[in-house]
Amino acid sequence: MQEDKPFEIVFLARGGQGAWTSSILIAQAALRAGKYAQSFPEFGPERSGAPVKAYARIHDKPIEIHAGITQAEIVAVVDGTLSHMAKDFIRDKGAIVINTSESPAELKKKLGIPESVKIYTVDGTRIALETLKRPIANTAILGSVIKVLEELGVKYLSLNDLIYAVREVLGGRYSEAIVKGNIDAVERAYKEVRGE
Amino acid sequence: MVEEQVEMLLNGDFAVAWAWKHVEPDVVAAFPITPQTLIVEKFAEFVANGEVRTQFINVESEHSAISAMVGAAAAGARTATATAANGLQLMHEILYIVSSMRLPVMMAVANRAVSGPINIHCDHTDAMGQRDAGWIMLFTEDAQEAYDTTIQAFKISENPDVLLPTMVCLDGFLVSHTAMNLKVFGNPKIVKDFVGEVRPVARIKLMGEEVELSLNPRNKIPLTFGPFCYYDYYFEFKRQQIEAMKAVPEIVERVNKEYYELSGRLYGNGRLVPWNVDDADIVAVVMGSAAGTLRWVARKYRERGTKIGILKVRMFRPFPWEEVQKLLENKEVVAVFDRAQDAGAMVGPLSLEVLSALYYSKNRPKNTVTYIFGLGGRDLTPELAEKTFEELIRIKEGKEKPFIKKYIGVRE
Amino acid sequence: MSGGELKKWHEIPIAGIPWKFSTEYKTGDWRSERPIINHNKCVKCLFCYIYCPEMSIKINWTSDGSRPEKVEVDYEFCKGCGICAEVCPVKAINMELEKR
Repeated sequence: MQEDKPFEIVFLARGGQGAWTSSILIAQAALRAGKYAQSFPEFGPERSGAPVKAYARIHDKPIEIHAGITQAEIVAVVDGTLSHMAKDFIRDKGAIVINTSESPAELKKKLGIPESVKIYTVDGTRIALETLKRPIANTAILGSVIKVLEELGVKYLSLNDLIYAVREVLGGRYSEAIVKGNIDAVERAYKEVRGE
Repeated sequence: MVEEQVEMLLNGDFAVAWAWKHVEPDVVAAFPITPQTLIVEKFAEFVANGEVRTQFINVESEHSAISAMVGAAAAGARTATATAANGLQLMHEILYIVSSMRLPVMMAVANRAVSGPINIHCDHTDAMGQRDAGWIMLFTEDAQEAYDTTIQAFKISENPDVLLPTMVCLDGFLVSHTAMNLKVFGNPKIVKDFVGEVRPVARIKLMGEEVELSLNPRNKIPLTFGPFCYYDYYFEFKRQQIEAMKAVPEIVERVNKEYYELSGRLYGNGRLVPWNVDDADIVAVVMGSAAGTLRWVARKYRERGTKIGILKVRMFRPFPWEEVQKLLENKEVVAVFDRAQDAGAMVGPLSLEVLSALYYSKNRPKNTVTYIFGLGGRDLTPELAEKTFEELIRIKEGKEKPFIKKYIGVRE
Repeated sequence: MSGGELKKWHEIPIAGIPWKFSTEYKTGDWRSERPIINHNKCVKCLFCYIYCPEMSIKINWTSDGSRPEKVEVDYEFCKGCGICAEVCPVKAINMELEKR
């Protein structure tokens, strides 16, 4: 991994599952942590249910690159059915976080993920159903991403920064109950995510 | 004195909407088209919430949007609109009318490929189709520059020596939808004081009287805007527009500098933003967000001692050809990165400008090449940029023959 | 704008603004037919005044300004389009061939 470069995250999801919101939330959290961030969707005609991508970059200096991310440090798979796409975007020694009920070891074998790439799983949809009463796992995935950042030793942002961002961004759009549900999802996924 | 600012996470479209919010134009009329939509959506929200006093006119097309600008601006209003791609093409005929009627309209263009095939992603072909419409054209690199340049555009356009409309271009998605940390003024009054509380309306001499150049019923002499004009005077009016364009470079520089004093952010001399060009052997000339990507890659080359410089063209119209000529004197390799269609032309539109300037240079660069890239949102990744830099180094070292133009990222 | 010495680009106002009144262009000689008002028939309804595209109908008001006394055609500007004759409800306007 090259040193002086932004930390890059790719979110894989389906239209309507909040991939873009995920990347905005993580960028907002980075901003709160005093870092520089970039967040953007891989945009297309908006089709609910179609595979979509969103990107985030975090760095401790202004980010000059304006291009999609082809090789990320973290690939966060918001929709488990897209987990086969993850290895196309992961950098060597990166980490893949997948929303699934399966175990990391099982999945790693199934997807043919190289040994040098770490894999984490979290049952984000179940967490979302329990906290939000809806199968929207984007904030749950973010909670696990924070945990993975810690495990990778990346100190750009903390769980508190993310919770602050959830309040800040979702608070303007949704009711307090929904915001609270999302924060619960973040916290639970942070605890429940499993590595190999 | 640098004024207090608030750090926010905003994408380029929202940044333009915030700039409008701070300027508070009298009239905004726009028709939504991706990737500009977020500008008008956000601004409509500001209007609906009563956060601005702007008259927001819902129109049925871009042609009507720009036509509404003509009427409002002729009446003396401060006006702004936004569009992209085919919407901009639909405005085409009116753009010439805006500039010839000397109306200081501000327009944000979220650059997008022009159909067909239908594509919503970034390239500069839409703006390049308007390059001869008599507008000032400024290209921005990121959301922060989009916010800053939008504010500056009002002040440049409304200057009585200029009175020409300004197009502020931001790369579709790469800037328009890419959120970043940026700073906006905490107090909108700072912005209002900068551009002026109300739009200054120019005064002209007419029949021995001094009158407002506006459709003002209180004018001592009523004015007619947009009348028929024969071959006996049309050319003279065009000559006036040429003269107004001549005043632009200096005004752009002055506004850029005044804005720097308020914001702490400076964009070169307002026209060109050179990065390590002076001592460079190889210079990449580029507009828009790709300037950032190229600079990022060039940094690595610099660390290794390879003298690569990046010349970002911020002001495309009027084209600062004399400065470009001077900056590129005696370079080993100049590579122009053009993000627009060139079918049938020798090179792309930016490159045509650069090559024309260099033709009259006494100290032409040894090699000048053109890269057409990024059509329809094809990414210029750091990896691709690296490949082209490698090629330029080989040309410099005489290991590879120079060429007129090549295409980056297309499957040949 | 034709006629007289042509001005240079910096001698004329900007933005394509005309610098003479349209009243300087006497369009009366464009006419091939001349409207003649029969004042005995005219009821001073002023339809001709409203419809005239050239504002060439002149109204003489009574001394107290309360009503029109006489309606006339301004032949310096009338182009002879005949709209006044067409709209006149009492057929008080006749179009007659212009003598040259």
